[in-house]
Amino acid sequence: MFRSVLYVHWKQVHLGLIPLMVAAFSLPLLSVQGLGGNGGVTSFNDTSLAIIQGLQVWLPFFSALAAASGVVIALSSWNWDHQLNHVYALSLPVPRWRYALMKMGAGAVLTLFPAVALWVGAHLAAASIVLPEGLHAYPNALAIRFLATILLTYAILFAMAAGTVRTTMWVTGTGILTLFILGLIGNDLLAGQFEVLRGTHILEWALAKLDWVPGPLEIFLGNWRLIDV
Amino acid sequence: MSRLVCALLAGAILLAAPGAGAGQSPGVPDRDSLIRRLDSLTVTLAAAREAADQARARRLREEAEARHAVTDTVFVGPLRIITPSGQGETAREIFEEAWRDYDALIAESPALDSTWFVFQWPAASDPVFVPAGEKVRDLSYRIVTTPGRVKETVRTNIGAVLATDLAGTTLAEWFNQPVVLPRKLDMVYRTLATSATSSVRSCAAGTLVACRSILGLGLDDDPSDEWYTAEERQEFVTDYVERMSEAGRIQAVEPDVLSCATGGDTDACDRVVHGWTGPRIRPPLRRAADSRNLLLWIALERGGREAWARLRASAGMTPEEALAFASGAEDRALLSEWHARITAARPDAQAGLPRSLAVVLGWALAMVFFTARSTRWRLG
Repeated sequence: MFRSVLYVHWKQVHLGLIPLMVAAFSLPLLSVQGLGGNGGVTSFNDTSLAIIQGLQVWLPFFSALAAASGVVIALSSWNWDHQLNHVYALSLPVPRWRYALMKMGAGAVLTLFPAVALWVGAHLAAASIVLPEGLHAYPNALAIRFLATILLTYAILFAMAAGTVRTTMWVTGTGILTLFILGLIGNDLLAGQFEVLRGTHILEWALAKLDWVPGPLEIFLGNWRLIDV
Repeated sequence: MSRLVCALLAGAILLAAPGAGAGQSPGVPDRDSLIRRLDSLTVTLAAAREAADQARARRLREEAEARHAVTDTVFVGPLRIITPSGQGETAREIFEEAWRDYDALIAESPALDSTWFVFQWPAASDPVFVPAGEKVRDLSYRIVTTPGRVKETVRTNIGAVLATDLAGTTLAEWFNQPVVLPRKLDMVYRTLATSATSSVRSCAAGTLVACRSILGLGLDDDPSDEWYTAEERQEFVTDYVERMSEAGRIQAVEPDVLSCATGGDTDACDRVVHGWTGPRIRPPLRRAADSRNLLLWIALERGGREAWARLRASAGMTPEEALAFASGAEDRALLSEWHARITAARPDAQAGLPRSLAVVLGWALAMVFFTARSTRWRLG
């Protein structure tokens, strides 16, 4: 039965998941484009520092892609159930909790797809450049972090989407929009008029709070570098 | 002179003029009547002048009162901050946070004592009143920014004012930047550990003599032999020749330089590099600002609150002597702590990953629990 649930979920999500897998595979390769040394003993062009700084701009894309993958898998998992008023689920000879667990497990298996794509891409990217002395590639650590981030996003949104997908999208979308609107318009444009908006910047505050342990979003702030010392 | 006075004078001249005034005879008035008229006008003129002076004084008083109404003065430690009224609390909070770094280290700073910080965020449309003849550091933010960036800039500006205390010392020439606690030591470590130059990597590995050299301490006039190996010196020259070639100026390159770059003549390379002075011999350490700041900071921490005063009195000493004098410690001890702090900031790609995985697992299980318990099936 698990295989059926997995198959149904795959059918539901594959059109959204395949582009994400392609992106996950390509991202590490893109991030090392134009970087790398010539393997010589010394270089006064500071190749190592150039690699570290060159990778810096790509770091947010890794966590954003992981979050996007989690969102797509989670929202698609309950889609058919809600559309068909849960008739299919009710017709199955299993209790609801077991059905929910199977669905969640199926989604968790699907999170492996983009993670494996990134792992392969990261290994290829690391192999494609000559790393100067002192630098090392960490494709496995990056892939594990990527997988954990997808799983986390997926688990949170899966639980929310068990209610309704529409509400989940509204809550999540409104939350993110509010954060940006308050941060960019509220803080930056209205700070001249209101002292209270000057002391605390909503976006800055939110980013600082991501670091809170055991907060769920701490994983987003880890070391996402494919190449480091 | 005010308009009122001008008008009165004009009126007086008109009245005094021949033929002016209603009912006057067309004949030339006699001398005595003119004198009487002028005398009467002098009294009026004096009254008008007094009224004008009072009006001017009233206007100046109102302007002064208005200035005081829009300006606040905030004191944080030795810092004096002038800010538009209504921004006082923001200024206090930001400067207090910035000063916290220095509070335990700086007992007295003449530069800070003689400087007014003008803080406006966002900048007010009216100019802020500043005491005449004082040193002013303007921190008026007209652009959109976040509190984090403002705090960082305030910290840098305090450090920049502090650094002027060292003017005239050799340490100032060596240091030449704002005195701030470097916060990105992981990047300093990356710079050390990944440098293409062996002296820098040697420092990263713990050779304090190399650290001393790349920090620019205890150097003679030609530090190239200390900074670079013979092979690196040759590469340095090759790099220069390549850049000249790309710029189409290969003809301007001296024969010795070409011989070093192309023939690998190490003697020629040494002659070239030793002949180069100043900016052509690039110091091997990148992010040197953070590295030097850290060393200075360690010296201040070790020396206590009087260390800054000792640094100010270090004119005539070499930078390493000044640091040792201020800290009361051997420069080797300072370098050792400097190295230890940078090494401790070594970034680890896998650091925190097990903890993050445990946190993720915990949250995922919590979500599983919530999902399994809630239902829309409503079966009764």
